[in-house]
Amino acid sequence: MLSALGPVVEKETLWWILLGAGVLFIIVSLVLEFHWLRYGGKARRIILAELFYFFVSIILIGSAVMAVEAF
Amino acid sequence: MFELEPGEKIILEVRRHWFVFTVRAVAVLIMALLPLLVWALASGELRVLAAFASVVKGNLAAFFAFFYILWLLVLWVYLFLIWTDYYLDIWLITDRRIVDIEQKGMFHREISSFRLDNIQDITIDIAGIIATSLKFGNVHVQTAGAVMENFIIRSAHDPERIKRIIIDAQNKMIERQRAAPISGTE
Repeated sequence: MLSALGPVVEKETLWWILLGAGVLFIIVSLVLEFHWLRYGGKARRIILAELFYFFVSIILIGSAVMAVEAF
Repeated sequence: MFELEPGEKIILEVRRHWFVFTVRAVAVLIMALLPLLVWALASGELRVLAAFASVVKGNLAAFFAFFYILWLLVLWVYLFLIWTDYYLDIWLITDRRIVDIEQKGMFHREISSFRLDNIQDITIDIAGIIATSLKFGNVHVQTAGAVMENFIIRSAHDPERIKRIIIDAQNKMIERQRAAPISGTE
């Protein structure tokens, strides 16, 4: 049985994983945002890409939170 | 971002053909669907599920859903990293030079420029069924100088049109130089 190999996964574990993923997501998003603002300027395509990126990201993160709550 | 010289005008902005990005996006899509395929194959294996059930103290479906969503989030961010890299690679053809702006990774940006009057030769190549059908290819520009340099505009849409535009811009620049007063101003 796998339980003999390591700790049991509880809800708290998933929250910590989500927190870590969230921090990484914020860092990478800041890097992307820096590049879009600095090199993309106010181009319409960049603005649309930004909106689309954050819209879907929020949905995914919200879904992850719901999955942890349902755990 | 680089700066134009006084009076310099941009004639054309060139990026790689959309097909180049699409191929990578499809690969990301396949990676997004892969866990579902694994789930479809493994969910019938009761031993696998039983093994997970022994370490997971909660709803197993929610557990897998959580990690799948995290996987999608990783792929989503990766997709935009490759889109940003694709979008920020650009060639600018101005009335004086060609500027090659290349985003090599997130923290490495290379900008080179080549004056139109230094261009010696332009060759285009369109290779393959897809490139021929979608009309994209490479434009090879050979420049003169202390050292002969070649640079390539890669996977650009309608490379023949780009070649015509560069030659036209070069001819106009040479005409302007000839028409300039003897004092040497342009």
